[in-house]
Amino acid sequence: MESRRITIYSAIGPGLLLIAWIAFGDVGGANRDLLPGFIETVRTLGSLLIHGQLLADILATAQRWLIGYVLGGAAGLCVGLAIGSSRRLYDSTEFLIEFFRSLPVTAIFPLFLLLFGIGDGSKIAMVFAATVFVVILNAAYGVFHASPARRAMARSFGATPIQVFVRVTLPDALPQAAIGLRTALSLSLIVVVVAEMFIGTETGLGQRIYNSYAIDAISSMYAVILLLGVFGFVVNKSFIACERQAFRWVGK
Amino acid sequence: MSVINFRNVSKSFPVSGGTLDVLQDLNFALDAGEILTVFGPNGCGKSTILGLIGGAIKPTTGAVTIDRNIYAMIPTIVQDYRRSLLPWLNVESNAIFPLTLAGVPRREARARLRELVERLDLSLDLTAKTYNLSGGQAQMLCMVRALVVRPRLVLMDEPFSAVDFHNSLVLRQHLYDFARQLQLTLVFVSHDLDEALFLSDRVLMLSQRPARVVEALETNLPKARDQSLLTSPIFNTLRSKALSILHGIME
Repeated sequence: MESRRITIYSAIGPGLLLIAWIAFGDVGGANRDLLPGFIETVRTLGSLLIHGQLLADILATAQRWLIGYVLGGAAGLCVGLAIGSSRRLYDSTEFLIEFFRSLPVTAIFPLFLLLFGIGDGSKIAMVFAATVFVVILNAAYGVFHASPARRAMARSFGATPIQVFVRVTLPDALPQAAIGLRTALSLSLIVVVVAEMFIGTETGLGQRIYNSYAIDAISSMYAVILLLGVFGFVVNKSFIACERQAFRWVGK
Repeated sequence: MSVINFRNVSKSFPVSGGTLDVLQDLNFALDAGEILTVFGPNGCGKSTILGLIGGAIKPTTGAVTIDRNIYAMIPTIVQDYRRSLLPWLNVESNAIFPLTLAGVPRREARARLRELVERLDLSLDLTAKTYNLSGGQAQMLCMVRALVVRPRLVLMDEPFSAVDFHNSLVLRQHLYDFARQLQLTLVFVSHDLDEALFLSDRVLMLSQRPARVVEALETNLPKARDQSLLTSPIFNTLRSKALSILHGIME
């Protein structure tokens, strides 16, 4: 991974978004019931944050998301590394993994309701499901593509199969597994918000979006969307920074 | 007492629609402290011979005898040094990797490494990242990693063919000096005639596949060797002799 500097070009993306929103929403006279002005949205967001009304929603969403993501990530790593190490295990589970990975988790929400009820359990389970399959596949690919020459080297020095796995295969597989974790990060964030919109709840950013829409508080709705977008960007960037730090050796 | 004994060793590999005969009726023995080079055309089965010695490959017929109590660990140094180093570890951790596998405490492992580096008079930046090393330094690290376990037998599979010419001369000299100093038994695979002759006590000259030993050429060169040997009359005579054998093989 090449180290990247923040340049003037990094400002073009947010700048374009801003200009489009202001041109269309603030100046252009788009239907206010569907798109509020940018300035109005920022003002609403500021007021929601300052008066603390959003705090409970943020915490509720963050909690569901983190629990589901951490459990899904951990389970995905364990299962992925295991099936990556055994061709038979991979062949026998490949269909299930690919099947469930291809499904939009949010589309099978009745199944989650059936299994986990309408409380936090089903939402956490949906985040878990959105995370686990992506991480399984990437961790397994990481093991598949770990260098056979390095394993042979370790064996020639008398390494046991467990030593080969822990000291060579695992570190070799981690960068690919981390790509899975990063992909799952934004995917699971989407899923938790959509789950909160679909499945009844008192708190949560998804619920806040849905309610704001229902009561025609359109600028509140966009305020939460703006917050989510910025948060997703920051989380993803932070994750990439950690990856770079941890896997400086990749590709060299 | 010979270290390795090949008796009537043949090896075939199954391929689609039959078998591929790689080695045919090999007979040779190797003494302790001897440097033997296996020399032959590409794809003739040189690496297979190393696999048979290392134990990763079993002969189809015949027997390879080697006392695995004495030669429990047989490090192999390969051509692709980048893929054999662990880039997530620094130079020192790579060098002591085999010792830590064997459960030697890090402190002791480091002491053994320092001792080896001093004894061989090497300049090696132990804190460097492996991906910042030049090809020559990286392959030197592979040699140090192999030697740190105090092996008595080392196998080398064209270790210098991915290194530039200048560095290959330097590494070749180092290797020769190390091997003599540490009284190593060395089996070296090469397709570079000068390299083979310079390093060896004996050169096994192989035919095209299925490989047979056409000639086991004794080099009879002096024990103390440096680059000046390459331009000496005795080396030239030896090279001519080897070339005429090669000529016979190709016809």
